[in-house]
Amino acid sequence: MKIRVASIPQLAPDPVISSLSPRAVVWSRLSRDPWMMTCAIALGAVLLSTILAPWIAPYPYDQIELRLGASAPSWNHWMGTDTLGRDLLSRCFYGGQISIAVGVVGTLVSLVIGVLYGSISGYRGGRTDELMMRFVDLLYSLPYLFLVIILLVFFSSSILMLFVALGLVQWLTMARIVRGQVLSLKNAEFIQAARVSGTNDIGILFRHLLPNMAGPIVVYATLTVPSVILQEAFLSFLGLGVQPPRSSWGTLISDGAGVMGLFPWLVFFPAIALAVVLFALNFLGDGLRDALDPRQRHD
Amino acid sequence: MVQGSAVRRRSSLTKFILRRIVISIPVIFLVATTTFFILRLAPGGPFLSERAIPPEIQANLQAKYGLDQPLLVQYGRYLSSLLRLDLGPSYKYPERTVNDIIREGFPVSLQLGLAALVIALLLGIPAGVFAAVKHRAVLDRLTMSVVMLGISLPTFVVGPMLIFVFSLTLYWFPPALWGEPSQLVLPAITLALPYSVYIARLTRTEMLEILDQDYIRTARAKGAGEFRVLWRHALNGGLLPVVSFLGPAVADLTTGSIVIEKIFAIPGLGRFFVESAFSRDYTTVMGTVLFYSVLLIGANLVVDILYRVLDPRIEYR
Repeated sequence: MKIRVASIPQLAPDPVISSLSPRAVVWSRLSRDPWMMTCAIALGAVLLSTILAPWIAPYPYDQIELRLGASAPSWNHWMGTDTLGRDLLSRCFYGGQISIAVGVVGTLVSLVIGVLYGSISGYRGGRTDELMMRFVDLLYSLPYLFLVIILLVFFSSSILMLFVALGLVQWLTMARIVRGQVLSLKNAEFIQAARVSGTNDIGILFRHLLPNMAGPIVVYATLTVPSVILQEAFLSFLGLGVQPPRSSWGTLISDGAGVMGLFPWLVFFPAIALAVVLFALNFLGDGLRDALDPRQRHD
Repeated sequence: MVQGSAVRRRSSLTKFILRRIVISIPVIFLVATTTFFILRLAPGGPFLSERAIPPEIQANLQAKYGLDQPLLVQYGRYLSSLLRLDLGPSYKYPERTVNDIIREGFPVSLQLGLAALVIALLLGIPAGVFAAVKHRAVLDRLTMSVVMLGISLPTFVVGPMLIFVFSLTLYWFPPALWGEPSQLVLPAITLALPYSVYIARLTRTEMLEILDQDYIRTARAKGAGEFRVLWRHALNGGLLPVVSFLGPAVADLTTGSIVIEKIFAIPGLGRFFVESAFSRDYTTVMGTVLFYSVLLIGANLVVDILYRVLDPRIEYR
């Protein structure tokens, strides 16, 4: 049985809400909010279009048509074509695949490392905790992006390296959040009960602690995805991200930015795609945090 | 009594600072060691360029910089020169040392970063306070949406956009290069925007919490004007998270300026770093990373001290 700490404070005088489970409360708060729903629908549409890219893209992303050159948006090419005559709409679909994949995988890497590190640190407590957190403090004060650039330049700038490098940068805050949660939960009565009934440490961690920390973890992960996507774009801009002929939104934007005065649509459309996704994720993350906040339960 | 506790506080602050400095030394050593070995273990080298260099010349170059020695010997030499604060010669610009490059590039990056920081604070704090006061009203939503749009547009989109509008169309500011104050405006604003957004969000969240508290009610009850309550009483506490954000922000402002320096063709340290990484200029890469690490550790220390001075509730550990 899962016991949710968030449901313990009975602050809710509202009869409709107080009878619902915490998850239902969160859902009802989100779904009543038109801004949140707009964001979710926009995000869903973009996600779907990138997943379905092989079927809905009107042209192959690397089909070059030099005769066409950079052409403005038209009936044949809704977003126009780039300087090599490649269809921008198709390239945006496929570029989204890479950008979103980098964001999600980078976040997952950071999630695994951060959750493990943070929960071990918080659960062990004492000197171990002190040492592990000092280490995190130290890593915080390193010029990370420089190290990522070194890794990408001196080894290979393959997509795999990109995933690993970006994930490695992101786990610190996650570790801190998880540790704080574990510290505040590990002496709760239901954990003591589990311990008394003979559950071992790993069981306590995965069966009892993790499900109760899901809220903050999900919120932070939602906010990590856009920041990883942005960092990939940043590295692509420096020529270190995805290598041609493949492209991410970042490489599309950086290619387009170079010829912005002449062919503004080349930077406009990929920038819009990137901005919509980042905006929606940031907004949903914030909304989720507000919805999960037990202190706001009474409104 | 009061004086006694003030003295105790001061001496514990000194202890705190000393401890932090002592902890930092192994970190800097660790950074030096990891960058050294990462660079050496990677394939390629500074003199293996596309231009075919005759093998004799290459051997000579390798010998001149000691690259033909065993790795551990090179490492020992590197560490001993570090102790003398000598970061070594640049391989790419043979006439300059890494110290020269940092001395040249860093002031530029620093000016850019500081200007951006000031702009970010000037934009972010008022926006956050405004949104908090208008909480749940349309204006709050609107402000926060504009703010959120700010994070969602990467600097390398905003930068070219600003150039397009303000230099190529309106001719207000020069589009690139460095030296005149007017050339600082566009890059500093571009760099500042995302940070002003974070600052606005932090300020808003904290202000929302503080405006509910008793001492604010007390201030209002005493008849303090709304303006005074906001800007004197509430904001004092509301700025704490902003202060602790400044540590990472300094980090991001220095690294974030890499892209800005590229867009606006500014001869800052970030650009030197990227160029030297691409040309495998070992010493410059190692020197820059080390320099930034020291800078960041210092910045974080300053922020922690500030935080403790501003918030007397925090204990020194």
